[in-house]
Amino acid sequence: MAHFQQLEVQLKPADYRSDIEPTWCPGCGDFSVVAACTKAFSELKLPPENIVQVSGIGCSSRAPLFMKSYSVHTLHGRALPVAVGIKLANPNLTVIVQTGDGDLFSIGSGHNPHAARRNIDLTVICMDNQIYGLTKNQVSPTSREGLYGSLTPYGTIDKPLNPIATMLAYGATFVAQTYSGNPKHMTEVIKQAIVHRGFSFVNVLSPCPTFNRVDTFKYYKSRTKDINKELGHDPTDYSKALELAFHDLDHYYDPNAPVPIGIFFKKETETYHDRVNAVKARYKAVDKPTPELIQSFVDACKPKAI
Amino acid sequence: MNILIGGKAGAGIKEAGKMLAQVLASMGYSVFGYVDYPSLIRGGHNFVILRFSEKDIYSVDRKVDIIVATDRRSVNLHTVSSKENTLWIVDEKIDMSNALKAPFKEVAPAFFKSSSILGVILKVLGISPEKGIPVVERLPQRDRNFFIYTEAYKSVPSLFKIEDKKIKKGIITTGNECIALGAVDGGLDFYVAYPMTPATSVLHYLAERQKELGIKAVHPENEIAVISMAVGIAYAGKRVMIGTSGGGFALMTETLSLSGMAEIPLVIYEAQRAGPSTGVPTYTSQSDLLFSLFAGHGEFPRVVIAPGYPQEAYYLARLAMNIAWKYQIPVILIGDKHLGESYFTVNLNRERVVENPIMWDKKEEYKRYCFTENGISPLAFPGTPGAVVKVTSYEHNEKGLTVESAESVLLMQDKRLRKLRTIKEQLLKNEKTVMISEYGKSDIALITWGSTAGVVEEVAKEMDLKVIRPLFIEPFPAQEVKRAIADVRRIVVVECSASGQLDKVLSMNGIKFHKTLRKYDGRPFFRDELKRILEKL
Ligand SMILES: Cc1ncc(C[n+]2csc(CCOP(=O)(O)OP(=O)(O)O)c2C)c(N)n1
Ligand code: SF4
Ligand SMILES: [Mg+2]
Repeated sequence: MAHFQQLEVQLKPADYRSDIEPTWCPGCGDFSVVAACTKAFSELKLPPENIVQVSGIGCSSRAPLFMKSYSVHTLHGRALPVAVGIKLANPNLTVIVQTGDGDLFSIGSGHNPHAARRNIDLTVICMDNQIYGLTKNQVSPTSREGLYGSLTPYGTIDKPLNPIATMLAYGATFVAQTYSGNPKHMTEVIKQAIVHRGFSFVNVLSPCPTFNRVDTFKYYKSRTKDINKELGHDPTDYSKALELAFHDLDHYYDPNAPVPIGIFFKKETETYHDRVNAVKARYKAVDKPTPELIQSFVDACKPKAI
Repeated sequence: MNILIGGKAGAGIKEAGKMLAQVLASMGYSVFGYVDYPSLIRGGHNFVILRFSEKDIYSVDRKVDIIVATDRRSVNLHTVSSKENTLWIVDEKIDMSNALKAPFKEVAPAFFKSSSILGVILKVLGISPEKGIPVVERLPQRDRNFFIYTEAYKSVPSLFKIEDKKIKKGIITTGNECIALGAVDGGLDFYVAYPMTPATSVLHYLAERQKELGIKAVHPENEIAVISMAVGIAYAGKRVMIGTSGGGFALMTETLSLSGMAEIPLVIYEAQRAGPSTGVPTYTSQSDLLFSLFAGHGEFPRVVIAPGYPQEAYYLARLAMNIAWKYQIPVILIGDKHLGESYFTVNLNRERVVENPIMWDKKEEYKRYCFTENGISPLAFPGTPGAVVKVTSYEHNEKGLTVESAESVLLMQDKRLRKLRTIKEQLLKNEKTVMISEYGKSDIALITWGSTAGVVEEVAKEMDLKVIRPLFIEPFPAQEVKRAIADVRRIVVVECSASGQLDKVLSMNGIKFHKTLRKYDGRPFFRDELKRILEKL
């Protein structure tokens, strides 16, 4: 029995597509994310009405529009806390955050440690194109040093942030990287991320051919290396995961370094709701107060002599 | 009678005030307590002024009848509150002629003098020692406090004869507690907040009672997360209130406008304090009135409600919950430190009133923003088979899908405008949106709002002036206010704001006035002070 709700009869991936045509540029990496998500939903037999996809603002954040599920297209950087709210209100829903590198790691970065350390059962899919697409080519926190953007005509002088290492440090219990040019790998990783009980983070290297002329499909094609299959990495090993993560961006500086994809870390441990339930049991809390309980509280508040 | 108790922060001054208020309320008096404390945990000066009477009262005087000085600093600081016949009760170590000396013993060095303060005051007032026992018994280190209380009681003479009135008028509570209970009785499922004075006690109050009330109190990483989580919670179908003060509300404004666009029901409690910026955190003001009306970019329907008393706070918080869900809008409940944290004597008649919102009838295809005549579209929550609910911060069509064409933008803007009209019509017709005094034969009227109500209405009653006080700032009951002032010669606007914010709301609504009384030192109007000013008019 899965810990999430499942359909008896499987739907086809196409059944999870909405009737809206994606408004992305031809060749955008984000198309594969929608394809992989709908495939994963189908294989996991998720009821569409039980999926809530929450996104911020950006090209990437449009992804939920193109799928048949409940969705909230929130504000720039605020997908994560809205998703946490939804999960708090109804833990039975499968809640997925669809976001971009700017959305998640610039404006919304303050929410990441808190959602991760609480181990709330959500899946965060970050379409990392190392650029702001929607606002037309400004560098993002994940842009490599020297990348040219519309505001950085001489190349950015900032060091890039390491999404994998950051999320590992924040306490995410599932951390993986995948690549838009490898749909099979992506579908598998997204499936595992959804199945994982706890806070799952999937960084998708998802090229923006329109603005980022460096981190392209061509660039990644010869460089990606499956850390699990090719390097034999065991995702239960946290220290090894951190060590690998620290080398995640080596390829920005060393032309021979690989781009690692795969599951860096995965640990089933108590989720936020497990802890809520444990506390509730300990203090014998009620979910819905009975009229008698409310009345007893009302009576207790009344002045005695009246 | 007014009693002032002063002493070091951390010495149990607030607690002593609350205990004394509880004893007096248990004897059938109406008590009002003004609590003055700095934004510090130790080292500052605290004081409480309690006024009690057989009549219902909601204010204190600046000049008091008894001053209890538990340390030397209190003597210097409160000489301004002394009048000719004020009785001074000072710590025995203080050298002061004509003062009654009392041993204000502490439970730990410089800590918790509350039981000795209570013992001394009860004796001086001629109240029997048994009356204080129930409150002393609730203190930690019960035996030690009990001993100190009894010794203190014995140490001074009895100078007054305060009788037991037998019939209680109510219990001691605060505006914040009543807001919390009102929201709960309006169906609250979640309270989400980041601590910020003077809203914090709502979070504490509800967090302590999560179990009995079956609600959840959540404390996220900052106010942006607070309102964002609330949007998620409400979208998933649970009733939520969030609470903060001006600074936190400023952080929330971008998401406030999301809740307007996406039509997400939210109740926001904005407890004002003296700004701008960090300002004077533990003091009161009414300077966020215009901010609450205009916060957020773009144009969307909202309701702004301003209770003046705890009873109103309870009732209006409950109503706010139901209005938010009926119309799927943000409702701002605007209070302040004076309402939220002062001690009031209240007899609350609690009743659970939870009106269910309009839900999808499952007959036709679900459209989250389906066009209706009144602008209200039925709700469906995630997990509902057969419906797919897309909500968005972008302008959208009936299905919640992003649109940009002129016609479709206009259609949805017009839908929200229809909703705005519905809200205006229904609330102004069905709810009590303005308080107009029954007294007031003279041809002078006072217009005020929020917590300034207590003092204004007390003084006005004494001087037979008319009082007009909107409970709803948006929609504003302009017609009723105009009718109420039609035959008045002079109109005076009274508020705790430096620039006059109620003035502007009145002007916006075409209401003329003659004079303004503004206080903006972080303190509420005191009764004697306001009376003196009004008498000169
Ligand atoms: C508060 C706020 N600031 C700025 C913007 C403008 N804005 C929209 S998307 C975006 C960056 C998006 O970058 P990313 O998340 O990487 O998404 P991408 O378009 O690359 O998929 C910006 C700056 C906004 N919508 N809201
Ligand atoms: S600008 Fe880049 S990220 Fe945006 S749709 Fe085009 S290719 Fe994709
Ligand atoms: Mg991007």
